[in-house]
This record gives sequence, structure tokens and C-alpha cells, in this order.
Amino acid sequence: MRHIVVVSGKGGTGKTTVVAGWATLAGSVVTADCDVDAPNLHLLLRPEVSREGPFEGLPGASITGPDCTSCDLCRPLCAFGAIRIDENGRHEVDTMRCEGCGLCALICPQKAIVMRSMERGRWYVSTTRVGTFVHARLAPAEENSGKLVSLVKSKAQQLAEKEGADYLLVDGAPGIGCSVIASLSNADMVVAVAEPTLSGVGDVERVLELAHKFELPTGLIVNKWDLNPRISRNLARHCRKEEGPNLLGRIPFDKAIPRSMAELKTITEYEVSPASQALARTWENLNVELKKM
Amino acid sequence: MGQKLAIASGKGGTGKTLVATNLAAICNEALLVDLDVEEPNAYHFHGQRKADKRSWTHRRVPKVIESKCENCGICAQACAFNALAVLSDSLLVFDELCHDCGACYHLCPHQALRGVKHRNGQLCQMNGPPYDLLWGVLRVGEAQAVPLIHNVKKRADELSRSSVIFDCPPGTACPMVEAVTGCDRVLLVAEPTLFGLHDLKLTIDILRLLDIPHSLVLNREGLTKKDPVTPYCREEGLDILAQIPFQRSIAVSYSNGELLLGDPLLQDIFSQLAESLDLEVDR
Repeated sequence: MRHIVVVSGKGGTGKTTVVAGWATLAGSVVTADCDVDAPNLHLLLRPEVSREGPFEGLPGASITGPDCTSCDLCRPLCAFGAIRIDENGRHEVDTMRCEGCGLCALICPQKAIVMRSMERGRWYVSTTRVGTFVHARLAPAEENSGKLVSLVKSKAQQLAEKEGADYLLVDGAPGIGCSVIASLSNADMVVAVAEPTLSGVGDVERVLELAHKFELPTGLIVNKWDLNPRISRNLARHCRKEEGPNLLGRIPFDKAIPRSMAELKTITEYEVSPASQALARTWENLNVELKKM
Repeated sequence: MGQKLAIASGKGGTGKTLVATNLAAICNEALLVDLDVEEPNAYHFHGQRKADKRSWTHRRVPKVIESKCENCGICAQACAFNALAVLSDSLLVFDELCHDCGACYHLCPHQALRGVKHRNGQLCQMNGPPYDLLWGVLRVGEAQAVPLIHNVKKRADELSRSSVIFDCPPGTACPMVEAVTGCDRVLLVAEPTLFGLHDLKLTIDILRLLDIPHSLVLNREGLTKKDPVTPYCREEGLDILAQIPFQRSIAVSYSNGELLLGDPLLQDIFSQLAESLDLEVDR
């Protein structure tokens, strides 16, 4: 089973487009969406949920009315400014700011603060026309997205092993923070989808540096390459360096991509286009690299 | 008029930085603050090669004072983030997991823990023209963006500028929330696609929870035959303050780190956008 994680650094470069397209070419595959706070892959895969459950994360503090004497010991101690006094003079917890550290509950002399388990998101295991799909949604403004990503990954890995799938394809989040770090674990290859812009290059270098820190093999796809052939060439040159990623190919800017998305189809399910052909070539090149490993 | 304006989106790559940099360039006195500390980009469009000021930023992590530690384990037991582990004769601290809640310092019966600085990134500044810029860069490998975003905003406050434009991170999780909190209004940048609409709705949910007024700029207008975002805005009573057309030339300029204000049509669009946001425009 080959575990591929697709990242980008910069948002909007085409991670979901690539993962969705590859999922239709991969045959026996489990797919996972680890962009848990702004997931998009389900829009194209149109999943039927078979199982779902709550993501609990850390418990949240709650001040129980009658026992609180308003001694105000808790408020200045909260590092996150999550305890405030409401308009009736009563102490209350701002659930958006509370990070669940539990210090207030520990120090309250009246034991008036409890840590309540909270549903901070939901995970889903679904079936789609391309096979099993694991996805999730972090509740708005929640933190610890890394923990939910780890949950999605572990379920996806278990299912891929159980089904004997040839591939596990993971759609990652933009950036280099906790979600992305959590999405990289156990990857056989981290594939970065880059756009040929100054911003895109700067950003992809950082996510590749992150993958490198974890000693993970890397690949690169240049998407919308023809928008800036000069920068595309620079990216290709970077791939030829010893520690550079394996260049898996380049995809031209193609209106077939937004058009296929508007019809809720992956680019490979839409009419044959320069983009769909280029994507198919990246899949072939990926497999060539995987065989060498 | 003085204000704190946040540029956000939900979906990545819709044009936040494009809007933020061009708005900042066209406005008098506006300070541009790039809060996408994981992947900052506003500096590319400034034109200057090096930052004028650069300093390390830190967050606090605990360190044990060996002579005072009695290995009681209270700190490790209390730590909700599993950042402390008590071994038979030592205390292990996992810096990456520490959220600086302060519980361990407070609860240690022997005052055996002190806070030390853990380097988490850099704070950088560039002076204009075309805009004064402040930004943070998260160290690669650092998991938490929020403490650095908080630091950058604190520095922005210290600069006491009347108008501040915040270029926010994508997504709807804590980094984006930390970025928009405390702002007077949010300008959402959306693209007319299903992915764009999906993420826009998630972002609006948060802004409503946070009770921050918001309006919209539609970027890449004309990219699709059927625009799902404009009808949604109409239904929700969300004002579309500007539309930036989908034009290959804009993408190319952006790719080269160029501002768009050389094009009179685009300068007009940004000028009018600035005025509708009560930002003073450079004439």
C-alpha cells in the first residue's frame, strides 16, 4: 500500500483537483481529506456516509451557577482571556477562547468549574464512486485541528490496510502548521502542488522543508505552469538539485478545471483536456517514482 | 477614518493578498500586517529585497529548576496538552505541545518550574512605499501559528497606526479566528466556484459568531459560467463591494510579484473599494 500526501504550502494551487483526479485513476484506493477546517474533496466525491462520530478534542470549562461565589480567582489566571463577567455580574466561560487547559477547574476553591467533554467536530467514513473516503469537519473556530487530522489519518490507514488497497491518497491543508504536520505522518511520499508565482514558490519551499525535516520523500507538480513559464522553469530546476523533490509533471492552466468542478466532476471524468492528460501523466510519473523506492 | 480591516476568505488562493496589497498601496497611511504567518506573501509585492527590521519571536515554555524539583509529578498530571512527562529522576518538556496555559508554574508546590523563551519565528518590517508592512514568519516545524499571530498583532498595536489592513490566513480554525478577532470589519475575498462558496459559508458562520461586520469582494469574476457566490450574497444580504475580473494578465502580474495599480481599470476598482471601506485614498 502506497501512502501519498498532497500538500502545497500556498492555498488554491490545486491539491484537491489533483487528489480527486488521481483517485479516479488509482483503482484500489482509500481517499482521505485532511483539510479538516475547510474540506472540499467531498464536493467532488459526493460521499454516502456509512459511519460517523464525534471528535471530542479537549474538554471545555464550564462554571456551574450555584457554587460560584464570584471570588474572581479564575479570571486573571486564564492565559487565554476566556473567563469574563457577564452583564448580570456572573462569571462565565467564553467557549471560543477556552483552550481546555483545566487550570481554572483545578484552582477554583468552590469547585464550581467543571471540564465538560465537547464535540469539536465530526469524522465520517463514506463510500464514493472511487471507493472508501474518510473525511471530517472541525467545528467553526476550533483549535487542535492536528488532533482531528490524526484521527482521520489513523482511520484511513486502518481501512486501507483492511481493504488491501493499493493506495491511500490524502488531500492536505494549506500552510505548514499543526494540520499539515499531522497529515504527513507515515507518508511514503509527500507531493507538493505548486503554482508558478513568487508567492507559490516561497510557500512550497517551506512545506518541502517541513517534509524534509521529517525525512519524507517528496514530489512536485507545477500547476497552471503556463501562467509563468520562467518561474515554472525555476521550479523544475529546483527539482534537479540533489535534495530537490521529484518532478512529477506540470499541468497547464485549463478552464476545463473550473468547468468540471462546476459539474461536480473530477477533471478526469470531464471531457478529455490538456489538464486531464497532464494529470494522467503525473499519475504515471508518480508510480514510476514509487516503484524506485 | 481609523479602523482595523481584516481580509479573509476561508478557501485558500482566492485573492486575499492580492486585495490586501493593492488596497494598502492605494491608501494613505494604512499599515499592512500579514498575519498568514505559516506562509506570508505580502512582502513579495513590496519591491524591496530585504526587511528593514527583523527579530526573533518567542513563546514561553517551562524549564525545570533541578535543585527544586521533587519529581512529584503534579505538573505532568495537570498538563492537558501532555507537554510534561515525569521520569524517575528528571522532567521531560515537549516544547511543541506546550500551549502556555501557565498551569504547571501555578500548580508546582516547589516553585521548580520557570518559563523560558522558545523561539517560534520572526517578526519583520518593511517601510513603504508602496506600503508599510509588518509580518510574522513561523519557524518551519513549529506547529502553532496562534502565539505568533498574537505577537504580530501586539506589535501592530504598538505602532499605533490609524488604519490597519490585516492579510489573514486561510481556513476557519484558530489561526484565522485569532487574526480577525478585534477587527472592526472583515472583507471577504471569494471566487465564483463551488469550493469557494462552500468555504465562504463556513467563514461567514464564524464572523456571525464573533459578531464582526463583513462584506465581500468577488475575485476572478467570469471564471465560471454559473457564479454560485453572487446569488448567495444576494440571499444573505451580503454587500459585494467590488468585482475583480478574471484576466490572465492579472494572474501573470501577481505571479511576478507586481501590484496591479498600473492598470487604470484596476486602479479604479481598488480606489472605489477603498472609498467604500472608508479608507483614505492616495491621490
